Amino acid sequence: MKNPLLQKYLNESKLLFWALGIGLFAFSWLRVHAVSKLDTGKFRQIIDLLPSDWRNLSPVDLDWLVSYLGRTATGFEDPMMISLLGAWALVRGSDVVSGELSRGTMEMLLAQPVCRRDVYLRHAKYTILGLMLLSLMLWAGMAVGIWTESVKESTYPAIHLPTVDFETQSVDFENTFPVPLQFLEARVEVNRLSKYVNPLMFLPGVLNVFCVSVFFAAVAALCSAFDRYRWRSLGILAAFFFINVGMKVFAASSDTLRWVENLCIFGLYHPAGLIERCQAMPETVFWLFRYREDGTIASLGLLPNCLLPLLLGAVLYWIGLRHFERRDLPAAL
Amino acid sequence: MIAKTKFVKTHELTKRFGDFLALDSVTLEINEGEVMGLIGPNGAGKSTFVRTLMGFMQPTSGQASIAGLDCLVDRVEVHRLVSYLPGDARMYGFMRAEKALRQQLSFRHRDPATEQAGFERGLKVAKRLDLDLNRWVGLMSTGMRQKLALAVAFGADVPMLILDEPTANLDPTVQAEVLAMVNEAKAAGKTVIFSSHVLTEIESICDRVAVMRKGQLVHVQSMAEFNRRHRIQGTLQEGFGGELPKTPESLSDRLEIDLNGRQLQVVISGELVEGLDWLAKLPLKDVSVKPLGLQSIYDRFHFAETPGGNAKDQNANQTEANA
Repeated sequence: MKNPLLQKYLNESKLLFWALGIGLFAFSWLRVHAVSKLDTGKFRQIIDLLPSDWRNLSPVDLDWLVSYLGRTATGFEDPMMISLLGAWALVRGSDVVSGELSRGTMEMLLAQPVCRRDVYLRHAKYTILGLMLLSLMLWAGMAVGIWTESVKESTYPAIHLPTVDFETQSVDFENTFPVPLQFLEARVEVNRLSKYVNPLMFLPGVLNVFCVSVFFAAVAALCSAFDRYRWRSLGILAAFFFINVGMKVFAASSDTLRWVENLCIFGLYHPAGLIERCQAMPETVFWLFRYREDGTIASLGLLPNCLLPLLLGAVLYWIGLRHFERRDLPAAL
Repeated sequence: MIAKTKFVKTHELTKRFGDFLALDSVTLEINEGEVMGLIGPNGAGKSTFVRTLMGFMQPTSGQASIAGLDCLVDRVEVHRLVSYLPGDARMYGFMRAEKALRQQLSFRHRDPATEQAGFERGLKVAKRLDLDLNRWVGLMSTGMRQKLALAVAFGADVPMLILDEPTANLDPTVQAEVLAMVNEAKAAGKTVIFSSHVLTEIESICDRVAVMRKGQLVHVQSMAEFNRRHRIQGTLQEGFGGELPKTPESLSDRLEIDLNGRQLQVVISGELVEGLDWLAKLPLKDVSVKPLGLQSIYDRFHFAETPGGNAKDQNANQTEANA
């Protein structure tokens, strides 16, 4: 009795799943490829030219961004990546009730000895399983990129100058600093990207992406449970998604507006930041908060960033289920 | 006489959508093994009634049960006993018909052996209905989709069928086949609710008929009784000026006489022979005798001005007597 539902969900979504999965895998691989083609030295020069207030718009410290890990990790912030995962969450999540009602297939389905709870929860499990697999495909694309791509590093011949202390008017020949001679021909070194980046470092980011996607799937299922028309559910969800994106951008535009981020779900979406934190301080992975040097709370830690979307998602799924179990099912139009 | 089990029971079943009263205190009992016809104009509440029985809707008040199970609380258990054909049956367009049939029927079975047996029953029905199961459901015509849904409904081995306009969109040959299948279900002791606009279908297969109008159950009558009501029409010969002969005592409550000029119309309920003896005494010509049929009852309620008023009250007693 349980298998037919699973088979139904597999049948109706396999094309979408593979399209998004291949898209995510290819996109994350290509992004790593693009990162590997950028010379770190030249990238550093570009970053140094950015105005200081532009640093607000970056989800991570710009100095970390210069590293291969940092540049690869910003792929998680790419709208394309979020849109692909969001597409699965919103399209599948919205299908469970209003999708069946719009197609007129709900009556035939529920005329069989199937309880509504089973229909709703099995759909939720399958949607979440799909999100998990898509997140892994995203990570796999990155990992394959890291294992297969090489990077070129240009090193200019440099002269080492001694440091001058103007107060004491002394010259320290022990402490020298390099001055690259960029008018000379650079020496190019080719190395495997995997020499600089370990794919396992991305797992905190993948986990965060997955958890926030589950939240969106739950919002979609909730909307679907209350609505009759899928086109309307999708419209409402698209608006919700883009309002959240807008709030995130708005919050990043100024320090005084930073609090706005806490009002949207993307306030819990910091995959690149979490990767950075886990690299710098792996012992803080399971901390609830991230602390400043003076001991005050700076932001939420990895755990709440992942647990809160899951918890909110579970609550929304539960509300949707309660409503679906009680609601009248309109006849097919 | 052995009392029949009441398989379906509704008591004051009411469904309201805002200001609109879709079902108004419907009380009905259907015996086990009985075929109950459900007729009424569009919007009469037939589909709302069967959908409430299926637990798709919460009644605003009142109760409904099938085989002693509450239609809302125990709806999954009810669905194990009932096979339902919706008025507008739709299935997944991304499947081939054979797969859709197997999938729908597989919900009723827990082990592969019974699942296969159920599927084979569905295949037999599909073959009887001349349905090509290789087609994609999404590319099927309305009639083909209806056949597929019928294969799902009749493929289930359950004690009750609820069929909401099962012959809609079907060609006459297939319509006849569907009626034959309903008769077979009846012969097998299954209880059937048969909702239709086609009165001849109701007349040919139902044991009783329930007439609905504006959400109310306005009339219930057994078909046997319908079949024993006749309308005799004739013209009194010229020169007949006297009064009609006195009606015999045994016919007094079974005759409805309407004399309009020389045109005489008599409706006789029950045994016709006794009435014919009386009619033979009249100087009639151009005599015709016709069974009254469902149409006359349907028209009577369809064109009634106040369904909640006299029509309902008038027939409540009859409903009770028939049940």
